[in-house]
Amino acid sequence: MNLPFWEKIKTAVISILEAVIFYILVVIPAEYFLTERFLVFPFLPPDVKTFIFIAILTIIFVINFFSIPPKRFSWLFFIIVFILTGLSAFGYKKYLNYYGELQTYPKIYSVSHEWGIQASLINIEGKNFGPTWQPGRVFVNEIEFRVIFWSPYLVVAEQPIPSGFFKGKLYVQDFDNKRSNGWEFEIKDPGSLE
Amino acid sequence: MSKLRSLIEFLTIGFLLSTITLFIGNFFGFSLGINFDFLFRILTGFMLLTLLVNLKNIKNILGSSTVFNKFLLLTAINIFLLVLFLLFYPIFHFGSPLIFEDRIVNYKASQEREIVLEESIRQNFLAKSNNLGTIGLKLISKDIIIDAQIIEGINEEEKTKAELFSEKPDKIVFRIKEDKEEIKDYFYENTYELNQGWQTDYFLFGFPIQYESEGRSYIFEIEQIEEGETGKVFLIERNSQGNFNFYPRYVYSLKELKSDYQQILLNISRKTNQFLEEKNNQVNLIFAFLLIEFLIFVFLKKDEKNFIKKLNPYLKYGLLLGLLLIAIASLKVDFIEHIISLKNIVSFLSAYNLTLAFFTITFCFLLFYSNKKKVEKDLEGEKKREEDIEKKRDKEFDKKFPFFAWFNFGYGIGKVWEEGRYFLAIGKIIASPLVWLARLPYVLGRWVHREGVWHALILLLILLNSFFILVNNLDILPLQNDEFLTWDAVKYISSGNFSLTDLKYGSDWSSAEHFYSRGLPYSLGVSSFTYILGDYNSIFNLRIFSVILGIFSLIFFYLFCRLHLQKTLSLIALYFFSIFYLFVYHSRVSRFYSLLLLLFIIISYLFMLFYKNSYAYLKNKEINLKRLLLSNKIIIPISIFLFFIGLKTHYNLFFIIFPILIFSLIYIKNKFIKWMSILVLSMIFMAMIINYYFYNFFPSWYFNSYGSINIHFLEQIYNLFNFPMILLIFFISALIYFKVLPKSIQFSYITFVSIFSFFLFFVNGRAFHDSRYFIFLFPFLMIILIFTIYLIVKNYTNNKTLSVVILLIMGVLLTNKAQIAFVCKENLFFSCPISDETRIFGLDRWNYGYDKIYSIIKENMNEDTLLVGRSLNPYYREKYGISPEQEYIVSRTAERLRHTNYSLEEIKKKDIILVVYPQIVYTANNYLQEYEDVWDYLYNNEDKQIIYQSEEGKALIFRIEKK
Repeated sequence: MNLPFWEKIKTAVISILEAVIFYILVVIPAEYFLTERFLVFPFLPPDVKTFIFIAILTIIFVINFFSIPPKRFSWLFFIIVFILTGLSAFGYKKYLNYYGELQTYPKIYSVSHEWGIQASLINIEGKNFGPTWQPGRVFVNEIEFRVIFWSPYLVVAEQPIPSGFFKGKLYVQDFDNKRSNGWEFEIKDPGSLE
Repeated sequence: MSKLRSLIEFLTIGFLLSTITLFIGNFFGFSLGINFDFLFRILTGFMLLTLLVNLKNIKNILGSSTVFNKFLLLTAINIFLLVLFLLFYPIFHFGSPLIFEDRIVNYKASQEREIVLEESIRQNFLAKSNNLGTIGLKLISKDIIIDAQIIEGINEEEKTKAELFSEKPDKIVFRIKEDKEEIKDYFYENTYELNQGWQTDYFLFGFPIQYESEGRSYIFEIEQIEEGETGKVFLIERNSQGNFNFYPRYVYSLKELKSDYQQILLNISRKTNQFLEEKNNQVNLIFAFLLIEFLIFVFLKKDEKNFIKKLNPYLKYGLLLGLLLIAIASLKVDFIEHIISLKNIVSFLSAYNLTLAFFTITFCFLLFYSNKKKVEKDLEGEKKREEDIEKKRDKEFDKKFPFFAWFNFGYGIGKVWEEGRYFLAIGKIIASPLVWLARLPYVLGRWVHREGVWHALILLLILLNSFFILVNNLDILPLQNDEFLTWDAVKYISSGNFSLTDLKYGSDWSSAEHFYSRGLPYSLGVSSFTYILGDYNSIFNLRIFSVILGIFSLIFFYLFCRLHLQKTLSLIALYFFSIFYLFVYHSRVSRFYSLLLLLFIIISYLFMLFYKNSYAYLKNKEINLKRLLLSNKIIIPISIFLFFIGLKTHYNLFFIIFPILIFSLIYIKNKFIKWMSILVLSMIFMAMIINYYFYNFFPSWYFNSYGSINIHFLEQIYNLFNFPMILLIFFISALIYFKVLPKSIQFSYITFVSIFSFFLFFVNGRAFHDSRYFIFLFPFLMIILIFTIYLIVKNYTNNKTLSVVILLIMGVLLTNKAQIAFVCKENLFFSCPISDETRIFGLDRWNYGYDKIYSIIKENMNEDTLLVGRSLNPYYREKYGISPEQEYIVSRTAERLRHTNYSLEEIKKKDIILVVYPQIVYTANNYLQEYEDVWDYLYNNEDKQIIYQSEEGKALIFRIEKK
């Protein structure tokens, strides 16, 4: 498949645009659902994203390289690809603003225990908790826990002596008083433990 | 196999395009969250793979296996040189092999944190080597800016503000210990003072060497214990990982390294690694390698038929791209501050300025080298056509315009002299100025006809435009520091005490006490103008002489250009020079640099006329000195006269000797002239060495003038402009003087040199505000620049109109960013509203608002009050009617000695108005020492009350009541 030089460039450009469209329409929404909706993990590491993008790019390069150019690269096809790229880029730009706004709120992804008793330490993992030098607060309903350690991704808190025992929601509140998602947490009576 | 190879090539192209696209997208904020390092590695892998599968093709492209082997050999040398560079450069860059500084590479600060009281800052790190001995921490000092306000009376808050400008430093404690919970005590703790005294931006904290530090964790802490009063805050940078910008330094003794030489190798490899990890260095190295590879390729292929022709388009577009990128990068210092996306592009590009310059120079060199014959032929043809038309017009003038021809009166001096009628000849000499005036309509009319009416009209418009730019709002800004000196001289000359009979006047200390005699011819010129116009206190009258000199500079500049360049090019060079911001600046201030510029241009022009007149004699090996002198009987005495006037104006006029002598060496065939040039040049160098190192004879006799400050010009040049500027002065300016450009010099060569100068000079131009001593260089650089751009344009098109359009666009892009944005924001073509608001040229010295300051001083003074300051201006003192007896200047500079004498005890008994300019730096010298006690007493006086504070705290006025 010895393509002439300019034909190679044309094919490469179309392939890049196709890969970008695919990435924006498939990978980015998947990342959003996994990290922001279902809270499976806090973020997709850049290396993984790069790997996915390169894999998509390579597959599209290979497919386009072996396909018959005149059939696929009609003017109509070009126009559709460019319009789609423009639209996805526009949508992606809007999404980036929205995603940036989301990253100003703390988010809990996992808690070391689902329950606690007085003086027990709880590791709260998540993101956007804020820098170490700007620690926030940790609550279960109205009861405030003592913060032992604070970092953007991990908070360690100690449970105080509670006024009662109940099942409630655990929150992280950052330095600017923004609250995270609630996490089911039970404050247990130490006497009930065997 | 061929299919696989094709696929690999395709993937390489694809990944290359992807990387470029994503990189550009990322730059403009369209980030896909990709790790570029990963992408670069994959791209590099594919590129190497493509090279491998195409080895046979590369061999074929190069022609034969011998050439291919040469290519491999030269590539190996290229790699070897890079490796050598990598071994040696980092040692020079990061210090000797005795130390290792573990810097954080690619450090990007994400926030700045202020060092404040009662808040300690901690940083831990893992020591990578033994012998930990120093911590370097980047500290940034910033001025506290206070809004402008006039303060009446005094209260506590204002007192605090006033005290901000005293000099009590901030005090911090630095302590360090091993980062282990069980270790509580710090092994080192000390107090440091923060002031402006440190030389690097890394503040160094030294402590006893930790011999067994390798692999151990340390933590250091900084805590402010005392807030200073320096008017500054101190900040520390922090990156997104929370690390400060710091480095631990490991220090080895020579003895240790002798016993274990491997440590030296280890240190070198660490430094090399550090250098290689910096992204900018990676890009520069790859670029340098590829550029050299490209040159090798061209060198090996240059003899092949049609190769240069094939290469030409790539060179053209490569060069154009380089020039465009340089033009964009050069906007860094200009008007893009508020446009963030543009600012990002410019900062990104300007980080690679050197790479851009090399890229452009290489492409420019190759392009001209490959086209030199064609361009030479074109230029020769153009110039010859123009000269033929001019000759034809010159001949036909008398017939075509009999009205003007009537004014063609002859001087007739030579003829009557030869006939022996000497009295009549003398009478004709005396009458010659009148004849000259009567002939003027004829000379001008003939010149206009020869030049062409349109060209003459455009010339007139350019001169008019320039005149309006120079004269518009000439007196809107107050006199600035150095202009007071001119006023001083003019006042003394106008008082009637000055006499021209003694050339040494003003040179000896006792008689010069009240007179600033530097730049004497200029002061005399200004005095003449102020005498005619009536008032030497008028700012307009003091400055108008510079405006006139500026216009004459332009006229002679044009005449000089016409000796070398075509009409259109000369006009374009003239226009760009006429709005060049340094020219505008120097032609609008009352200082002698405008005269220096004019004299330099006139003498250069006269030298070229001399060369033109004498060409017939100089080209022979034998010389007829009598005929040579006779044919230049007017030019030689005028040049010598102007040369000495110029030396009295400013010593740097002496530099004109160099290009003239170097030109004579290169272009004049006559052996006598050649040897004379060598002799004179050697004598000058000897004299300069003797003057500089052994005996200072320049500031004596005629050369003497009180207040000469730049007699050590070698040192001065080096300090101001460093080595590249020396190249410009001694080398490039000589090249301006070539008689016929196309034949006498290779285009490739001149382009190579001039692109370098243009990059150096124009891209960094804004940093050269102290360039007044070298103002004479700028017109010549302008010629080189315009001619270079023209040569570039010649390579793109043969269409003359299109050439001129491209030339103008490129000229504007590459040279005139500053003028358009700053100087002439409105009414670009006919006036230039230079005012306080435009803050012309960003020069601080014009922004002190002396009228406001002195009106407040006047309001607060009574008969017994004494006005004290380090930089008081007699001009304003006189303007506001303050008696000289009431002024006390707490400094004596070599240029001005006026002061009234009061002892410290006497001063304590007086009411004082103290004027302080905190941002003006005073260098302590022997003269100052005796006044320091007075200054210390007043400046640190706790009872002083602030009565005025100008914008940004640039000027402060205090009242101190007598005890």
